Amino acid sequence: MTRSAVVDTNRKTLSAERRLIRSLLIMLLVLALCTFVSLWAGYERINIFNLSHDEIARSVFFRLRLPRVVMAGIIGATLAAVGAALQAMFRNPLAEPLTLGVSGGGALGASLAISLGWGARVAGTPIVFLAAFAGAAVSVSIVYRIARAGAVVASGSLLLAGIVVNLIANAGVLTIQYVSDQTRSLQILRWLIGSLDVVGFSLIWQMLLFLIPGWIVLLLLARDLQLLAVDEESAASLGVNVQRCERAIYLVSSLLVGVTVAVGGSIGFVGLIVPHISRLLFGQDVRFVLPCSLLLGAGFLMLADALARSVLGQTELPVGAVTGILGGPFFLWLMRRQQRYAIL
Amino acid sequence: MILLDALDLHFEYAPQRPTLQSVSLRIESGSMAAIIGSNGCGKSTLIRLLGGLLQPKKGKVLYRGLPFKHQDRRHFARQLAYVPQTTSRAFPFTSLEVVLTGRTPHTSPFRLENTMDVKQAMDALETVAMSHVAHRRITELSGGERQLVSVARALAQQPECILLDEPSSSLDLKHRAGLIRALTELRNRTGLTVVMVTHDLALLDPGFDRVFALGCGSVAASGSPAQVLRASVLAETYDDPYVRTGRVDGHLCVWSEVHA
Repeated sequence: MTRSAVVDTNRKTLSAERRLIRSLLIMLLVLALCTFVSLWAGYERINIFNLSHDEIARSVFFRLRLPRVVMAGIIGATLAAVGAALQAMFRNPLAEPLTLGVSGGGALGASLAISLGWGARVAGTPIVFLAAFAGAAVSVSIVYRIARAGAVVASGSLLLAGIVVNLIANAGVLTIQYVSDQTRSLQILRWLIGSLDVVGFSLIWQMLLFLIPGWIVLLLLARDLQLLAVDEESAASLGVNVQRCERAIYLVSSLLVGVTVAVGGSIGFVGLIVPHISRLLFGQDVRFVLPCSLLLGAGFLMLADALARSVLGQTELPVGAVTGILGGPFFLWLMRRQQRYAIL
Repeated sequence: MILLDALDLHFEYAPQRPTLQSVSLRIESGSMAAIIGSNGCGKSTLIRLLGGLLQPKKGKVLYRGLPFKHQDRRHFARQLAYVPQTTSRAFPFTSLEVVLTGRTPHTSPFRLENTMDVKQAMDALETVAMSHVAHRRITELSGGERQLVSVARALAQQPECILLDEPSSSLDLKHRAGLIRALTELRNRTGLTVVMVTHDLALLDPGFDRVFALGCGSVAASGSPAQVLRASVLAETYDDPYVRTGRVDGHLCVWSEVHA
């Protein structure tokens, strides 16, 4: 009996809702495990025994290690959920914030803001967040307009447009970095490398203010996205307001990716790898893939960051390099596999 | 009773290039209607307008006497189902998963399908004789099998009216007839109204009640299959002087001469 046949008999015995609950519980368990491992890992191994009476160890743990792990978790969750949503909406398994130019646009917006002054705020919101959101929103609308020639989104032109927009944005970032003065230029460089270094929780609270509503919107749209992933015209005939759903996804994806890029730089391929692992584990249904990706994405980036922190001993790798090294080959493998279905 | 009433529909995809001009047609509840016409004459556009998937530039479509916009989309999907000409296969969903999407108008937004929904989806697959592919992935199915799965998805909506855009274009001889037989049987049993865009003229007589022949963006002829499927009418509809009709054992045959 093939693997898929085993899964199918499983499905017949369990109702869909019980399967969803079971999948989410498994993912929560995985997340807890990842959290534990990444709290422990790093140049300084944290010893639970030390925490209770060593003041310095406690400070390192609560001011540096824990916030950093949480930061990795929320960024990973966000990127993976956005990836899952974009793949469903564009009916393209290769879509993710990086390949659609969303990250690139966000990076351009953010570096513009940094070059003008890192600390500035508008109504309590860091201007970097807003600028990255604007950049991401502009690039996603450009990519979509180019790809949506006529009535359908052409798969190949979608990715091509995304990559070109990314290249343009990268050139923009380099130009800004070049013309900025030395301190700013260094700031942009440090940010570009993409680090999850964070002290304390204040930045995390600020981010969650944007991220949690975004996550909720994505989860609320999961059913519409499932119908869109199956077929756009059928979805419309089943009562999905396609245009409204697409607009909501653009807006929310830009906001979510913008905020994560503003803080952590552009971290690629999380939004590609994680939804695919979720599909392998729980099947194609977006109502499973989206929430599971959210949880798995958090665990995934925590582990990637733990790897980045510990693999070179005292020096750290940028986490974007780790996800890139893991994700790039994965993307190529997927692309090769997709060619059988003539997607590109 | 009139179920679908299209009044003076105008539609254009690009300015000054009308696809449909002043199309009016009425579809009786419980009837089987076919829309025929040459390639690119606006058949698919018309059926999308009838299904509320496109908005006409001028004119309106009434469903049970009410204009579309006054009806909630999801509620509407419980009454009217639409089968597109082709469907996406970006992701390897199973056929059952695809058919289950047809149950969404009947399930509340935050519930997943229950065993009843699964049973109805399986019944719908059975109706089109495709229950054997329920657990196979749509990416592995042939074009014809995918078309039938798409029809099953629409039937799982339990609609009172089904709109089909060339559902039989990839089907073999047996499945073409089988599809019409299944739809006729449903019409007789449940009063389903069927509107179908098709090039399969030989399958319309005698099962269908009405045929609308579309030529150059407007209804050129309409009536019973016997009235419309005549060489003189078809020659004009398809702008083809080589159209021939004849009867074999009482069955209508339509063809166009290859070696004219």
